[in-house]
Amino acid sequence: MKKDVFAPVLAIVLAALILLGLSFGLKGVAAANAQAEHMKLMQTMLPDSKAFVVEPYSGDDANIRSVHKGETGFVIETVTAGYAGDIRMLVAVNNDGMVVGLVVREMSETHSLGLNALNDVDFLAQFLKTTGEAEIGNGVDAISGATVTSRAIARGVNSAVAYVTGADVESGATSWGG
Amino acid sequence: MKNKTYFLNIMLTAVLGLALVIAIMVRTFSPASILPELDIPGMVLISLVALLADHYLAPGAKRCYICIPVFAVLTFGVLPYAASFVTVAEALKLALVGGVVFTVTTLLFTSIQDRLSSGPAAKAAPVLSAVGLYLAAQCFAGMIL
Repeated sequence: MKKDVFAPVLAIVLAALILLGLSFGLKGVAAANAQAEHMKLMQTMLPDSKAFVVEPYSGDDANIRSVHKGETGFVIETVTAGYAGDIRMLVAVNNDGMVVGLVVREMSETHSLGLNALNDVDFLAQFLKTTGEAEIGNGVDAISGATVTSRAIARGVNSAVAYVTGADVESGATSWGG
Repeated sequence: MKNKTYFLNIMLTAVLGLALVIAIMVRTFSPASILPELDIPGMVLISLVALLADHYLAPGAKRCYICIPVFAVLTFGVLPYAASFVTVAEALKLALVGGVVFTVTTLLFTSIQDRLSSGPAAKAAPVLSAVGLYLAAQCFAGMIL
């Protein structure tokens, strides 16, 4: 009986070692695949841009995490607080300050409600071709039962547009934007 | 008969370990996929799979209700951290929540399926109990979120 108590401990240690080995062993492959997928996604959103350069962001907008500059616009990674956690998105904005692409990359919203934002084309399409402040209830309809999630996505889109149009004076994007 | 007092916790480690191996593979080879979080319904699902495996592979095994939460805390804390899915702070939170979730799920599952285990449908009682508990866990998580 006393010897048996070590069996679950041994199982945990063994499982942890396997997971550590796998995680570290595949770290390089995972990073390369993630980078390739990221590049593919950016080229899909801004098809006329062939290469992207990471542009350092020094502004005050906490929603903006990274900026990738292409020939025809920017792909901006935003993180905003949703209902059940952070929502990470990529927003493509062309050089005229118009939203031309939007994809949600990570979220943990409620099933059948906020999580629908992942693939609710009607909702996401409302942000395309916008150039100003997207506002839920004022030209943009929220996902039914997920107002907080919808607002979080609108905040992310607005931050991205503001970066390109120069509304964010700290970013230095005024020399670029419309 | 060989002592299988700790078989349930070994099953929990195996089920969570397998789930994390699959998650590592998905993260590596399909980075566009959005992996589900290890939230309360997820923990309940993993606990129920372990309980079902324990029930069918080691029927009637004794349980140590002091050891169950202790090893569950270790399992839910150590494995996600080893798989590089969480930071130390998140691992501590997962460990505490996981320990509570697994213990409560074990108590509920055992009492419900013991009640249902009678007559010709007795063999299906554990599966039915698990399905019912999983649905209840989702409702519970929806209420507290």
